[in-house]
Amino acid sequence: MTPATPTDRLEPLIWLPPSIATGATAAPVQTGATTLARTDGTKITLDIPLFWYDPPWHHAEPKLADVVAKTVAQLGVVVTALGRDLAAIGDKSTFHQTNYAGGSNSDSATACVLRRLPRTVPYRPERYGLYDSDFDDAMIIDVRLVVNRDDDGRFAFAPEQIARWEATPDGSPIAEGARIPSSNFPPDVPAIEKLTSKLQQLRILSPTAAVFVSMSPYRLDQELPTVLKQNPDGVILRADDNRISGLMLAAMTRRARQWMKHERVADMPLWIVPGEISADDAAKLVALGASGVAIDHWCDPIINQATDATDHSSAARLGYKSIRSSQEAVLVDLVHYHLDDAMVRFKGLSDAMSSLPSEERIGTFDAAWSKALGVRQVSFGVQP
Amino acid sequence: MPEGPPNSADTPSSSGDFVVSAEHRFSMADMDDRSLREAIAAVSVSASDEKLTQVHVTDASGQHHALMRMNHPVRIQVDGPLGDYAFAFCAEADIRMTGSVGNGVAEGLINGAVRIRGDAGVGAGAAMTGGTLAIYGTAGDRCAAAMRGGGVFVRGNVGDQCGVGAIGGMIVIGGDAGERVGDAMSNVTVFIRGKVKSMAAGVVEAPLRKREQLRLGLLLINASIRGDAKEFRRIVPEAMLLAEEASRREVNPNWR
Repeated sequence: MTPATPTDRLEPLIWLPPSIATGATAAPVQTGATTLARTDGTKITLDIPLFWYDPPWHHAEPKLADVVAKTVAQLGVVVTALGRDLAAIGDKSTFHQTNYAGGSNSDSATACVLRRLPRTVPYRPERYGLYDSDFDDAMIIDVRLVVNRDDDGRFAFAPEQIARWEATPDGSPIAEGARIPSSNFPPDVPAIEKLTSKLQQLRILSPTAAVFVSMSPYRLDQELPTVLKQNPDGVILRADDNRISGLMLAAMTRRARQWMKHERVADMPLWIVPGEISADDAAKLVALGASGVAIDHWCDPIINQATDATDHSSAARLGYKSIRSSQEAVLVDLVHYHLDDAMVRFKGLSDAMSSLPSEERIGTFDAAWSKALGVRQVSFGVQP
Repeated sequence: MPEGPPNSADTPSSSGDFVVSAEHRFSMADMDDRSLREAIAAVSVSASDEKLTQVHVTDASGQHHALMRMNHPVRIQVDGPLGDYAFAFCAEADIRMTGSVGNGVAEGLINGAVRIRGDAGVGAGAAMTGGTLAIYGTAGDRCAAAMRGGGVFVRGNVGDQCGVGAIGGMIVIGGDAGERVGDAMSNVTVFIRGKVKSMAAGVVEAPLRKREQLRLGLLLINASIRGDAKEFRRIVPEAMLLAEEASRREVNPNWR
C-alpha cells in the first residue's frame, strides 16, 4: 500500500529527453545539493530542494511531533518548527539538537561534516511561541508577510496552537480559549520599504541562517519588486490557500523568476508553496525556476496520523505506550511510508534534468501552456 | 500619532537612579557591536544582588541592532541615540539609556529592564515575554504589539494600535493614545492617564478597583515614573472583564 497519489497539476508539461546531437547517455553523478548565499556571503548547503512550510504540529503531542520533525529532516527536507512546537517548556527537542552528515545525496566532500538538521524558523508578525534560542543553528529565518489561517480558514491561530506556544494552563487559556487573530506585517516595521533593517537584524540574531521573506502571490507585480528591493536572501511564495490551476502555478513561478531577473537578482532562491502536488509537479516547478518546493501535502498526513499510529502499534496494544523507542520506530516507518516513493521519484527526475540545459528540460503539447510559459511546444506538425 | 507632551525625561524620578560612576567603560566609536557585546559579557558579575556591576557605553550615534541578545546580570548605561531593534531579546540586564531609539526597541525582551530616557519608534516592546520596558518620552504606533508578558510603561503619548495582538502582560500609558487601542488584544490590561482617540472593537473601559490602584502604584514606582495611580483608567478586553466579573460573582455597580 502506498499513500494516495495526488493529481499531476502540471501534467501538460512533459519531460524532454536530450537531443540526439548532445550525445548524452546518462546523467552525471549528482549530489542534488545546492548552496544558498546570504547577502553577507555566508554559504548554506541545502541537500534537497524540498521543504515542509507550515506543519500542523499542534495536531500531535510534542514528543511525537519531535520524532516526525527529526525523521523528515534527516531525509534532507527543510522543516519549519519553533522549539515550543516540539518540546514542553524547559525541554529541548531532539530535532533542534540532532546533528547529521547531510542527506542521502551529500557528496563525499561534505558527507563527514556534521551539522544541525535543516530547520526554518517561522518569524510570524506576532512571534507567538518564538524564543531567542530558536535563532541558534537555524538554516532559514522565514519572515512571514502572510496572514495565518486556522484549520477553519479564519485569519487566526487555533487555541491549541497558542496553548502549545505559550504553555498556558488548561484551566485558564488565553482569551478564554477563543481564537487569536493573526496579522500579516511585523508591527515593529513602519512600512514595507523599511523591511531591510528587520532582515539585517535577523541576520545578526541568527548568523547561520539565510533570511527569507514569505509573501502571497496574488499581487505579485506590485509587491514582489518592493520585497526584492529589501534584499532578502530568498523569497517564498505561498500559493496554497487557494486551489489555483496548474497553468497559473507554473505561470506564477515563471513570473516571479522574471521579476528577479528584472531586479538583477536572477539567482535569488525562489521557494514555492504550491498546495497539493505530485513528485513530477515538484520537479517541474524546479525546471520552471523554483529553487525549493513545499511538500506539506505529503508531510501533513504524517503528523495527523502520528497519534493513531502510535496508539495502534504492537507495543501500545500490549500496554507499553510509554516506551519511546517503540513509538519512535512506528513514526519513522510512518514517515518513510509517506515520503519514500515521492522523494525517490523527485530525486530521479531532478538528477535527469540536471544534465540538460535549462531551456531543454521541459516542453508541452499544449499551445496555451507553451505561449504562457515560454516553453517549447511539441506539435509534430499538427496545427492547434 | 497624537502630539506628545514635552519630553519629561529629566524628572527626578526617572533620572536619579542612572549610573553615576561606572566600573567599566566602552566606546561604541571604538568597537563594533559584536566586540562590545563580548566585552560586556566578559565583565564580572557583582556578588551582591543589591548593587549590579556598572557598565557605561558611550558614543552611540544611532546604530541599528545594538546590544541585542545581551544576557548578563549587569547594569548598562548607554549614552544614545540608537537606531532600530536596540536591546532585542535581552535578558538579565538592567539597561538604561539616554536619548531616543528607533523602531522595535526591546523586541522580545525576556526579563530584566530597559529604560529609555527619550522617544521610541514603532513597535516598542513588540513580542516581549517578560521584564520591564520603560520609555520616558513618547512611543510610536503599535507599542507593546503582540506582547506576551512583562510590562511596558510610556510616560508620554503612544501612537495607534497600542497593544495590538498582545496576549499577556500590562501596558501603562502616562499620556494620550491614538486610534484602536487594544486591537485584537487578549488577557492584557492597559492603564491610561490621558485621552484615547478610539478603542478597538472588543475592548472596554473598566473601573479601577482599589487593589489595582495599589498594584499600579507599585508598578509606577518600580518603573521610576511619578504619578498617582488614581489618575489612571483601565482598558481591558471585554471577554476578560466578563470572566473577571463571573469569577468574583460581582454585579456591575451601574446595574444596581
